[in-house]
Amino acid sequence: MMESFVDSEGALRFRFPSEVDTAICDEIHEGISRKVQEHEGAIIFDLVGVQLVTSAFFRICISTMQTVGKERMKVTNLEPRVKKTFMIAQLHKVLDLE
Amino acid sequence: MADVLTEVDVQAEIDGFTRRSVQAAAVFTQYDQQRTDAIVRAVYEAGFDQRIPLAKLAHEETGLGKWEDKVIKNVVATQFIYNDIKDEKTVGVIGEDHERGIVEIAQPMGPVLGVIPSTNPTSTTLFKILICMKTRNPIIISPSPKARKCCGETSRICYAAALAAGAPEDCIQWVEGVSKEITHGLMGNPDIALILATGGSGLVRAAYSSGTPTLGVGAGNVPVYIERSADVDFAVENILLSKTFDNGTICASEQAIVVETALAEPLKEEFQKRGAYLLWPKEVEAVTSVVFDAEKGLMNSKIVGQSAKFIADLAGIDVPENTTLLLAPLNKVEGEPLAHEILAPLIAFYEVADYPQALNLCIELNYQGGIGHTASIYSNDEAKILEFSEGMNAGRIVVNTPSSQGAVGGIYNRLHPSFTLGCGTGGHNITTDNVTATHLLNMQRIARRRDNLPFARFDANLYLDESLGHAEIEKRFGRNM
Repeated sequence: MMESFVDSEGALRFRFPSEVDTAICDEIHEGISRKVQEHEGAIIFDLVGVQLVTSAFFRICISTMQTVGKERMKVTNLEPRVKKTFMIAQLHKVLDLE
Repeated sequence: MADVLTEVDVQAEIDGFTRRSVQAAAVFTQYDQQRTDAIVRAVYEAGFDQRIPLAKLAHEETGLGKWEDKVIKNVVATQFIYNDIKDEKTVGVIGEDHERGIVEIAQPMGPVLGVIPSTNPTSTTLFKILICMKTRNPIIISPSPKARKCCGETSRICYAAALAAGAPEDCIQWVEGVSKEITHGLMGNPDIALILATGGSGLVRAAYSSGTPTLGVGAGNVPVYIERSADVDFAVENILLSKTFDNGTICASEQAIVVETALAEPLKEEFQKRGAYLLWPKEVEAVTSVVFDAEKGLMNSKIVGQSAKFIADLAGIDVPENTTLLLAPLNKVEGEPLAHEILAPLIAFYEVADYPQALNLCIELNYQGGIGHTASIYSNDEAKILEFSEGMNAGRIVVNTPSSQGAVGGIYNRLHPSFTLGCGTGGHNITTDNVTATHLLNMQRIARRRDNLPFARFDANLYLDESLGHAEIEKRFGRNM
């Protein structure tokens, strides 16, 4: 399941299950929004171990970025296949992918 | 939706469709073969189970053809297509040739725009959705305005089934408020990877002109040659089965019968015995005036997919209620409207003296608006079948087979079943194939090093020697191999 914690650099880091499908996104979206609004530092979506993302997850990424601003949010540790998915969806143009 | 869309509305619609489709394409790339096949199976089952309501809806909305025949089309578009593609590998490594050092990897193309005609609306929608799901390509269905309701319902059923099977959101979208502006805007949108264009020549030309890669179709004008060795009753039975199917709405249906004098009378008799009506010369004129729009130089859309009786009534000709087909005896092709494609149970009838004349006439008909599409022959003479085939410019030459169903494939032969029949360069298409899932893949080839040995052993400096021509080089190249 999803986990979140403030890392050693003060960023709020989210980690996700290996398949972030639509049903999971429905469950986690509200929690992410709430935590993001409560945190003042950087937001990191850490995709370590994530093998599959869906359009619903893209929407969470975009809405989070719109809430905090591009400079405060990063998507990191993307597996190559997932990175390609973000690139095809053209999200590299709006999100900071590392 | 408002009746009149502003330019801003149109652009917003197009952007919405393509943005969602691009995201679906991205998500689809992560799916493996098993997950993909589960979606295809689910879509097939849902489409097949709704074959009858969808056929009735298509008939009710378009007013074309017969709902019972549209059921068969829906069956071909689901069961036959599914059986044809289900075992095909379309994800990841799909071919390996160790000797040549080539590994083939299948990649999806990206968002596909499916343009759907009013003549075969639900079946073409089902077909395009299935081959797109099999190849992990999202599809946007853009139906003929005459068939928006039935195409929308078909798409909705398929999408619900696909989603339930775990498909990406928006993998199937459909344009509800169809307009020329939206269709053309989608065609030219850089995020559309491919257009599957099935429809009239204007629409297919617009697709090609958009600059987006397109798999299109050409117009048909199918000659059917009944050669001396043919069985007359068998030929008539099959031609009727084909030409009356869905009131002739398949572009591969026979348009002109060509027969040698020796067989002409028995053939006419057999047709009449089976409910066809042989038009008198004056009646041919009357029918011509109602089926052909002289201004547009095309068939009159009012008669497309209508019954023989309806057309006869329109022309003021009294025919029996159960008339199956109108036979129009003609003696020339040039300048003759009925020598063109007419998607209705009306067929031209030519009687010629001998085989060479028959072949020449078929070639003339083939080049009269049907290049690259389909030709048909009834014969038991292999040499003549081959000679006829070589004479035709047609992607499909169907032999002793009802042409409509034969060209579509899968029922009377082993052609891939398809509702998009490529017509080659003659029809301004890139392929003469029956388009299927394999046409929707980008093939990657991993090429392992396999040195060209003759070249490796050859002194390449000799290429720089101006005194050596091809004969001297060839003598040295490959020596002692």
